[in-house]
Amino acid sequence: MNILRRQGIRLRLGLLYLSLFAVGLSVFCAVLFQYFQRAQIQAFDTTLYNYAVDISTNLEMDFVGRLFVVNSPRPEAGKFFPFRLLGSFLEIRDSQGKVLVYSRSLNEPTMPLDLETLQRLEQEKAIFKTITTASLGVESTSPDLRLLTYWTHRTGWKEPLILQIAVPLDLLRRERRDLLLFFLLGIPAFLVIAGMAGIGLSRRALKPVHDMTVKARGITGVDKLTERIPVPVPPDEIRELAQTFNGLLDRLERAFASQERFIANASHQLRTPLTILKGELDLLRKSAALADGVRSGLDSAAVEINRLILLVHDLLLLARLEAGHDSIAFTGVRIDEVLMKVVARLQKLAHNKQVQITTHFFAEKPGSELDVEMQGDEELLDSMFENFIENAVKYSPPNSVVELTMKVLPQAIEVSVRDKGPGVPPELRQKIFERFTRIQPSNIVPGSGLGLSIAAEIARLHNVKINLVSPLEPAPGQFSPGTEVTLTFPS
Amino acid sequence: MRVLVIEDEKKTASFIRKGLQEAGYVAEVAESASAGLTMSANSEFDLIVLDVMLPDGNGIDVSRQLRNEGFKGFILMLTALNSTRDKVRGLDSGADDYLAKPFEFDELLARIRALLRRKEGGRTKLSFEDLQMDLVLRKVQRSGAEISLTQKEFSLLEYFLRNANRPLTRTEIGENVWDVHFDNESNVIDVYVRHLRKKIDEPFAPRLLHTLTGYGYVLKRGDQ
Repeated sequence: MNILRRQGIRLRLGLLYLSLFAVGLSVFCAVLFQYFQRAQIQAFDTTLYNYAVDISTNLEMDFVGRLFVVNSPRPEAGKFFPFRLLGSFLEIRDSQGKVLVYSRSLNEPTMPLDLETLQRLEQEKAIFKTITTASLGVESTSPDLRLLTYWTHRTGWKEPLILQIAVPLDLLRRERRDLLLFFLLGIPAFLVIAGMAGIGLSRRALKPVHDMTVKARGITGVDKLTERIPVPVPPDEIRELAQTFNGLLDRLERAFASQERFIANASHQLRTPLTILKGELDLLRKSAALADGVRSGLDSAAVEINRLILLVHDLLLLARLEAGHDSIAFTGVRIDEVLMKVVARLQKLAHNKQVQITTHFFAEKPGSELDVEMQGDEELLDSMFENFIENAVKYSPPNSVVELTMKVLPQAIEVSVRDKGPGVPPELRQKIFERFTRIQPSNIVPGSGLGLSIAAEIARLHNVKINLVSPLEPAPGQFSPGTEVTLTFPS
Repeated sequence: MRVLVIEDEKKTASFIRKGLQEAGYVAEVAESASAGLTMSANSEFDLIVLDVMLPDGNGIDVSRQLRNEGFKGFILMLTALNSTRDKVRGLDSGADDYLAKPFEFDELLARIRALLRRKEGGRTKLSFEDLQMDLVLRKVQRSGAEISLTQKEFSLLEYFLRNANRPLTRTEIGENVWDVHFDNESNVIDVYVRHLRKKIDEPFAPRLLHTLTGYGYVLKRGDQ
C-alpha cells in the first residue's frame, strides 16, 4: 500500500479504476454465467421433453396392454437436438414402474426410479434429473446424463406409461466450457485494453494540469512574473486551479515589486547623503591649501566614509540576494573577463600593500583556456571574485604573491586564489562565511565583515562549490601560513 | 567644454558642479527632468551628467527623449541602483556610460575624459593589410571574411591595430588592454594572443601577429 501511495496519481487512478472494473466485470460475468447455465438447461430440458413427446407419439398400445412402436414417420427425423440421439438411452415402464422395454444400448434396465419420484410423477408429468453415467453402468461420451422421467397417457391406452430417457450432456458441457474459456481469456484481455485506455484517459484528464505545470515552470525570474496561466473556459477544477495559481502569482508579483521598491528606495536614501559626503570630502582634499591637522582629519573621515559605503553596498547586495533566485537575471558571462576586471580594480590596493597578483590561465585540453562562458549574474560574480581576491590581498604580508589560477577542466571550471597570509584557523573555517565575522579587527584589516557571507551566498546561487584549504603544506613543528580558496563552477 | 548636470539633489549637484568647474569644465545644473530638457534644447552641451531618479521623471526616459530630440553629445548616467539589469536599461536608452553612486570624484572625471577622448579620436575604422575593424559596429573582417571575437579579444586586436608595426611589450599590452600590470608569472596575455592568432592568423596568410621572444608581440606584415 505504501508503494502504491508513492506512485504517481496517474498510475494510482489507473490502477484503482482497473481494479474496480475487474471486480465489476467478474461479478457481471459470474451472474451472466449462472443465468446462461440456467437458460441452457431449461432449453435443453424443453428439447428433451419434446423428444420424449415425439417418442411417445410413436407408441401404440393395444387393449390388453401390449406395446407397439410405430416406426414411421419418425417425428424426430430432420430435427436438431443438443444431444446425439445415438447416445441416448430409453426405458419404458408401466405405471407401476415395471420395465417393459429398454433400449439396446442399455445392457440392463438400470434407470433409477424411486417411489417418491413415482408419486410426484402423477402430478408433475415430467421430472428432470442429472445422473452420472457410471450409475447406469454404461459407456458414454459424457460423464453425466440428463434423465427425463415422463408420464404419458393417451386415450385408448390401457394404462399410462412411464418413459425414461437419458441423454448425454457433453454438448452442453462443451458449450459451457467454451463460454467459461471465453470469459477466462476475454476478461484479462479486456482488462489490459481497459487498463491502457484508463491510463490514456487519466493522462488526457490530467493534461490540462500538466500543461499548467509546464507553463508555471516557465515563470522563473523577475521578468516573467507578469505572465499568467491561461484560464480555461469550462467551470471545472482545472479552471479553479488556474485561477488560484494566478492569484498566487498576483500576490507574488506585488510582494516582489514592493521588495524591489524597498531596495531601490533604501538604496537611494542611503546613497544620496553618502555621495554628497564623499563628493564634498574628495573636493576638499583636492584643494591644496590645507593645514596638516585638517588634512589628516579629512583623510581619516574619507576612510570611514568608504567603509560606510562598502557596508551599505554589501547590505543592499545581501537584501537582493535574499530576495532569492528570482531577483537575479542570469545571462551568459565570461569568467575570464569578470576575473580580469576584478584584478584591474584591485591593482591599486595590491600596489599599496606591495602584493603582486599573478594570473594564470590553464586548460586540460590546450586551446580551451577561454571556453569559460557560463550562465550567471555578472555583477554578483564580480562581487564574489572581488571578495575572495580582495581578502587574499588584504591578508597577505608585504612583498608576497597572490596566485590566481583559472583551470578549464572537461567537467568544470576551477578558479583558485592562493595567498601567503596567516591562514584560517580550523575552528574558523565555517565561521568566516557567517555575517560580520572578522579574523582581524577592522582597524588592522578593513572591511564590513559581510564579504565572505555574500560571496558564499552568490556561490550557492550559481552552484559554485567553495573549497578552502588552510594552512597550506603544514610542516612539522611549524605553523605554515597561507590559504587557498578554490571555486568550482559547473560547466 | 560645456557640461549639464541634471540632478535634483541640490548638494550633490552643487559638489559635482564645483568639482567640474575646478577641473576646467563649464558646468550648469538643472534640478528636474523638464528643466534639463529645456536647457539642453536652448543651448549646446557636450555632455550631460544625468541622475536616474528625478522628481518629475525617470533618467532613462529623459535619456531616450534627449536622443529623440537629436541630442548629439554624451550622456553619463548617475544612479544609486547598481545591478546589471539597470545598467543594460540605461545604456539601451541612449546613455554612453554609467556610474553608480557613491562614486570617487576622480572616477567621474576619468569617465568624462574618456568620453570626450572618444569624440576627439574620431576614427571609427581601423585597418592593417587585409585586416579591418569597425569600432562602431564592433566587427572584424580579414580578406572579407567576418571574424567573431570576444570583447577582450577585440580590445587586444584594437590595441595592436592602433600600434601596427610597433613592437609592444607585455607591460604595455597589460596596462592598455586590461589596466593590469602583469608580471612574468601570468600567462593571460599569451593565452589571449594565442586565441586571437587562431582566429585572425591561422586561417589566413601571411601571418600578422608575431612573437618577439623576451620582449612581447608585434603586428606586422610577413616574414621579415
